[in-house]
Amino acid sequence: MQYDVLHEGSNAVLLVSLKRGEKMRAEAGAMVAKSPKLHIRGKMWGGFFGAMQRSVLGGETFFFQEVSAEDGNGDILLAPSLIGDVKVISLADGQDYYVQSGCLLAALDHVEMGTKAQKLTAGLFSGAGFFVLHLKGSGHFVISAFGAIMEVPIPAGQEYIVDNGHVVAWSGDTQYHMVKAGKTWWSSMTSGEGLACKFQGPGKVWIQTRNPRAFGAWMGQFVRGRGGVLSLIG
Amino acid sequence: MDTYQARFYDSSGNAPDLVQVQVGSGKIVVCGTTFSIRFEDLQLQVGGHDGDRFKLVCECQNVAIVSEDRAFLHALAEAAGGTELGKQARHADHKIVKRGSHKFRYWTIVTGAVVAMAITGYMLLDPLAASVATMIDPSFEVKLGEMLARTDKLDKKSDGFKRVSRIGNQLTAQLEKNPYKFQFFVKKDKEINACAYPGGILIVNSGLLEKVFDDDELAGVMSHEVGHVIHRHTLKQALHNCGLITCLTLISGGVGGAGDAEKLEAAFALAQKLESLNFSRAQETDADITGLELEVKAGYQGDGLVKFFKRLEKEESALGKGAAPLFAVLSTHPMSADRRARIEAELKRLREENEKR
Repeated sequence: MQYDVLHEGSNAVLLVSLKRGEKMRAEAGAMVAKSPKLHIRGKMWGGFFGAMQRSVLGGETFFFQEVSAEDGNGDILLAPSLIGDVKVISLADGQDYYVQSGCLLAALDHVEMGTKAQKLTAGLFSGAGFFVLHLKGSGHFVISAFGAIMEVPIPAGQEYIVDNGHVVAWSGDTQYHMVKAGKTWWSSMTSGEGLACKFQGPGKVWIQTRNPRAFGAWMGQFVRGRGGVLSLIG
Repeated sequence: MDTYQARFYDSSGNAPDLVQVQVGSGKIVVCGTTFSIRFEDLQLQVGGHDGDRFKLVCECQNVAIVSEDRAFLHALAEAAGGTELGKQARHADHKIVKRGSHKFRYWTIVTGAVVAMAITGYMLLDPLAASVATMIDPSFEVKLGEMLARTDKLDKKSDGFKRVSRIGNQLTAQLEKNPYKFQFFVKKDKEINACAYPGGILIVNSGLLEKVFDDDELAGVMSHEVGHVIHRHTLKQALHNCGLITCLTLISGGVGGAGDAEKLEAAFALAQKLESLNFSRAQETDADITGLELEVKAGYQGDGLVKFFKRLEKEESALGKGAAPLFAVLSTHPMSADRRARIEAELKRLREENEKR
């Protein structure tokens, strides 16, 4: 199996070349184009309850698509819904990673996926949701994000603070908890940053350079409401 | 010497290497290398996203070893003895074990609370719907019924229509003063069924008219439908459904995105199926009792409904599963043994009351 990220940046597309007999998994609805020899099936990856947790509580799709090269070699192009970058992360035996729901574009080779619940505070305020995807095994997985993706290594004994809404993925050896972004609650609120995620090394965190929720809120001011008294004003 | 699996982080910031480590006397040795770290240079902490692993950090060499192997932790605690590292290892082991049970308790409480809220909400749906129904003027029901009836092609001339109107008027003449103006129609439809719209419009399908043996059986079905109107069951059911949709919207997070409305519709259909559709058992009982009273008062035998259902059940089982759609009345008003017994008991009581008079 070979892969390549084309048009890196805001319009990134993942190209995967599968040889006869190979399989991969991708986010439902991510296909842009494919060779006729590749077959696509919807699969409940991680079991029924895992799929339910992901879709109902995690905002992820219930089904993942399994792309298989049953009839011969072929290529598939995959792209996320959001405008943003795509990054391939390699996964070796013994390692594990967590990915925010909705940010996993594809899993190649022998990647296993499960769903893990986050702590209440992290679920409510991290922007990653209550349920996150837990990946282990060996191979590669592909994350997508809003804006560019930055990989930040955090050495052992060091900490790193990421504003909530910007976290995409992190290695299983890191741990994070919610903190106020400023020195005091007042400065956190007035600075517009509010809460942030404080990661502890060793490990890595992948962050997106744009916050989809903040962008949605910004767009909201230009979208006319569906009615009601307030829609009459302005 | 035992070896343990761990991940080794160096200062490069690259992904960790999967290594085997050994606990030696006063040091940890990375197998296959000459690299070792003395106990006194190590700091041990619980770490990882789930708090299920521990990390050994050596600040002087800028490296860390992370593992989830508790046997490694035990070996370290034993080898380090009463030193600071030994204490940290025992504390970390205790914390990791405790975390597992805390997590279980935490999610049990959260799940229990959500389930309890859902059950309480569901139990409150019917009483709330009934109390909201009392605030709605019957004239609204009449308008709603007329609006719904406009969509049906109704027969207002045939002999069937005259028969239905005659029996319907006989039955509703027994009612006490009520805000509804009853109207009876026939709809050309092979399906054996009848329905009542809010406000008093009763529609009998031509399929049902063909199947009833006599006026007693027809009066049995129609009086039951009159019972639904008098008890405002259609309105209450609509309010119940509104509540259910509100709950589903709250759970699913609303209908903002593309395709969410369809998803919600599917979830609602599923919820309705799980609820076994249509009117509740209590509502069916209320309609049965009111219907029986009307039948007996109007001079009918009162056993028409039970007789009709018995005959239909026999016919349906003889025809096989393919005939089920035609016999819709059996699935929308299932005649369970309990229901049959309740109707027969009520009929017996009404007949005895009549005899005393």
